[in-house]
Amino acid sequence: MLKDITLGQYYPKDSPIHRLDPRTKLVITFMFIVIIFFVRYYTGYLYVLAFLALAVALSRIPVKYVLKGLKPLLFIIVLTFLINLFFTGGGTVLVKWWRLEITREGLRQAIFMALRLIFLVSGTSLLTLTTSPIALTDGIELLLKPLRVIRFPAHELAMMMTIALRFIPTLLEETDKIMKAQTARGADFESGNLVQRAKALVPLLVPLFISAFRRADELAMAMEARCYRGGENRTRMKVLKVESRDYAAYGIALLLVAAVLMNAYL
Amino acid sequence: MPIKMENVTHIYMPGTPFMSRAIADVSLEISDGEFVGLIGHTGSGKSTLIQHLNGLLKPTEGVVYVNGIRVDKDSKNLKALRREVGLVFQYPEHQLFEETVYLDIAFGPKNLGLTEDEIDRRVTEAAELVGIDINELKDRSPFELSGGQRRRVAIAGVLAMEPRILVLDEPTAGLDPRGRDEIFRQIKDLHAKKGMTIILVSHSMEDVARLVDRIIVMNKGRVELTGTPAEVFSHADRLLEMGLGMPQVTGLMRALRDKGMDVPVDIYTVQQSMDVLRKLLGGSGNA
Amino acid sequence: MEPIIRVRDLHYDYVNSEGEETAALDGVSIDIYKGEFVVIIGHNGSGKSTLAKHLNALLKPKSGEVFIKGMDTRLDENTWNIRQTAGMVFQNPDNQMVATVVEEDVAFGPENLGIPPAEIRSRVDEALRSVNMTEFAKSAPHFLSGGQKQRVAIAGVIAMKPEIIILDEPTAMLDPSGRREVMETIRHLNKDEGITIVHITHYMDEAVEADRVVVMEKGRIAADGTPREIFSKVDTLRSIGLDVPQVVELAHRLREEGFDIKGEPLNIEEMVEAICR
Repeated sequence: MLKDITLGQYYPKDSPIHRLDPRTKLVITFMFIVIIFFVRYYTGYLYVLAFLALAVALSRIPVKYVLKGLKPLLFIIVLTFLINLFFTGGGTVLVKWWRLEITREGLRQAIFMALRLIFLVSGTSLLTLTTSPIALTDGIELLLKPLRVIRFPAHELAMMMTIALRFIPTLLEETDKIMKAQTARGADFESGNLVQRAKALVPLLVPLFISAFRRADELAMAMEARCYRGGENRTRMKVLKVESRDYAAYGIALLLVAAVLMNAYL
Repeated sequence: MPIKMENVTHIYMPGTPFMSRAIADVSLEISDGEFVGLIGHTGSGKSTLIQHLNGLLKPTEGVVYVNGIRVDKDSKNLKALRREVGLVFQYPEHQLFEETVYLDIAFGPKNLGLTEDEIDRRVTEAAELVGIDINELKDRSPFELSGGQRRRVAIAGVLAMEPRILVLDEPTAGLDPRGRDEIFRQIKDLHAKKGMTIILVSHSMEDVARLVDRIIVMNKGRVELTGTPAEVFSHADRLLEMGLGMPQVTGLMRALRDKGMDVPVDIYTVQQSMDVLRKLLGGSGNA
Repeated sequence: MEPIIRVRDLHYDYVNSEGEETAALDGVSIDIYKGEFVVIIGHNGSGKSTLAKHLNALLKPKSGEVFIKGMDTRLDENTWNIRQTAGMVFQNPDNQMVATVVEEDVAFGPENLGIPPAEIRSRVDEALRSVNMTEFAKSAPHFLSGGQKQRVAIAGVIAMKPEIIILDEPTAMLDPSGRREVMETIRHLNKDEGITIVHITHYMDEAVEADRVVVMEKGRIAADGTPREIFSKVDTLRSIGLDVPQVVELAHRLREEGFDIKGEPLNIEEMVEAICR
């Protein structure tokens, strides 16, 4: 059944990476993404690769799982590679065929862009693989909390994410049910051209929206009945604590930053 | 046999860690014009079973025959089957989507590609069967109606397909006694007047007992008991073991037997127990 | 003794999409005392849910008054105290859970009250224990049965340490075993923890277990008394479209035929006793 499909792509395991504070993981992932774009030589990517390999090894997640995250993006990676390959001017011409030419600069640019994308995707998927959606939400809320001074709705954002996560399985199940009910009335969701198919979705989407609104209405009432009045003066049962392993993780991440910057600019 | 299931097994998400066997080796037959009650607690496989009857699910193993149409794991194009079997899901009012009551009831017939006249005839008739005044309500939005009316419009939407077999999954869930009695009265009429074969899935033993000809009890994906209400309720111990209830008067008779009284075990209506108790209490009444 | 819930001449009108007003409550007055287990029955549209929402300040009286433990629900400054004192459980188990993990959901109420983390932890554990859901503390809500979800919802209310729990048709969407679980939980909270219970239902067999049954019809209170008193009026209940348990009906009909059935039996045990005497 649809509801059994695990969401996000959290891969439950008890590893040092899983145990890190979600804030630590968010911040380090951010650092990682930024530093990828500072790499100027191929050797720089060796440091990045080493860092990522260490993280994957520590997380005890099978490498093929991490690489699976790349699959849906393969097309974009290849496309980026080709565009950069053919449309970057300058440098020595390596191959020339008809009006297309591949220059040394273009080849380098294409490889760099592809590598950046690959590292970016595998780095972020390692974050979602090792952090449960709830922990991620909590982490985001706490990290964004200081932004409340500029009236950024950090708590509201996190609450919306939590509710969305809570209701995805419920709504998936409901979609399944309504689809079956309409199929039983002779609806056809599987054949016809694009326009016919889009039209066929009306009997599915209308009930689904109505139900979502009804649920929202009832949930709002239930939250009010349980004294919810926004993030003001609210406490949390689980308090996130930064521990020594978090400092160690920051240390290693800073080493990566230093290594890449030195490689690029010294 | 209009409905025949032969060694049907259904496995959800086979080959994944979420694999689960919902029904296992189920064989059963239902004859034309029968009124069958299907009982079992949540997770007993009832819902999976009824979805096989109109091809929403295909058996992982085994074969289903419905009015001569054969369904196995490789069957394709089950539209013909869906004309034979109407399926009313739990809380059917959640499937309403059209702007008016008329259009919603007409959705099924339209999908069958019928003429305007035929659609009109079917909508009118289906509405009448569930006690909806179509002339008064046809241009109203279904969402303005009361809960009980919405449910009846949704049932009419299935009846307008003019199935010969009607399957209802908990048609009275969430209704108050008045709404429940009304729906049951209409279902009984469908059976009596239109001669439809009816399969009623219900949790309420008392309702099932007074409506159906035969009860099929499911437990852990298998058919555990089948027979007339009297036969099934005489196995009260097994029903209790499966976590199912029984009509209160059936329980009363059991309790009286435990006290050493000679009362029958196959009692399930108030009327029947009146007869028993009249005899038992004899004399003391003036009847 | 001062009643913990005091409702005086409460009126409330709903306005539908066409601007017509319908009276949902038409002059309701009722006192409920600490520790009582009150069942409110009536069919859909009888006003029972509207009354329930007034007891938690989700609705405010349009005329008349409602006091919860002496607090006037019309005053905004009382709202949060009232909601903490009189917790509420709703009909649809899916639409009242906020979090993706059971224990986090139970913590939601106390978190809103600003209670310190350690205290929340112990309240959550205790609440889960009292509804017998400790082993599901880390589960995701969508893997639970309906009865289990309702017990989690009840735990979420208990964790706020209320004195009253109002349950608005919590069993309407459940199967028989779910209903049994919820009823057992409610009875335990009432008998062992002394929580005042206002349970709204249209299942008559649930009314049998209460100390007091209030029958609502057309926005008014049609009858109010012990289950025995209420069920002795089989014909009245029938006329407003409510069920009576089979045993009650049986006793009633036997008595009509002149048989001597003593003491208004409400359940199988009492009926057996009445017959064996």
